Amino acid sequence: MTRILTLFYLILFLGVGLTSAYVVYHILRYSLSKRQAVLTVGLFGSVLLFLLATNALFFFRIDWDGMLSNPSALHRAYGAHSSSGY
Amino acid sequence: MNLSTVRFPGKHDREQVIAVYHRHWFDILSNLFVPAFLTVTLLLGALIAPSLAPLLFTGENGMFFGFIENSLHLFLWLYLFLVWVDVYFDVWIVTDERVVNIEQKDLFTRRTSELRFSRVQDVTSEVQGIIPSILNYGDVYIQTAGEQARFIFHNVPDPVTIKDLVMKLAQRRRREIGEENS
Repeated sequence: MTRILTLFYLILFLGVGLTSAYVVYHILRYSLSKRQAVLTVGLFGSVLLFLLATNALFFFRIDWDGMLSNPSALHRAYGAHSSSGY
Repeated sequence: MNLSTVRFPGKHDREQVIAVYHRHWFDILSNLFVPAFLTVTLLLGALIAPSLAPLLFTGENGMFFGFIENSLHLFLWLYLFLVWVDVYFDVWIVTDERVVNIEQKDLFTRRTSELRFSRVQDVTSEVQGIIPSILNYGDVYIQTAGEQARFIFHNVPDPVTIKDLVMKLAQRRRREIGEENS
């Protein structure tokens, strides 16, 4: 199951990469000034790389097999919280 | 912006850029409102939710919700820039020879049109609505003698000044043509 999820994740990752390439291409190609283009790409790229890196880190640290074989874990966590609240 | 460094496709060697106009900042912001609103909502949710249901945000569950939240931020960041590319790269360039309009229609459609001052017949500016009146932005219509009946600057700042500038440059061009003919 983890393999299928990883495959889907990689496809999604590729989609994000292609969309980012489109954005960067447009900024570099159509900005009226080179300085502005570099600044915009710098801002876009740095935040995107940070988000992509943390996203991959989260994805590969989650125990998907454990989570999918025991889907009630989330309910239990929520149930424990709500029952403790009353 | 230093106008001498402005570059655009089809710029002639000796062509001088006189002015560059993007959409008014309020128009750009209103287009960015949805992704900005969703980002703020998501950030507020991430701050408030752990105090409402702490067990959901610890250990493996915390990792899972962190992943979901991070993914949403990632898509919103991309969406924000896709909207930015669509809106900010609509540009009108006034040079000493012509007016050039570069318009991003959708993801893969970009249209460039130009209008020589010799073809300008009439220029009109229009500010419509409360916010455009307060912030002084609107449309400028250039009536032409060509096939394209009207050349439009959409939601640009200070439309009256742009109208005056185009009129002045068109009149100067007409004078030059008159002098060349006589």
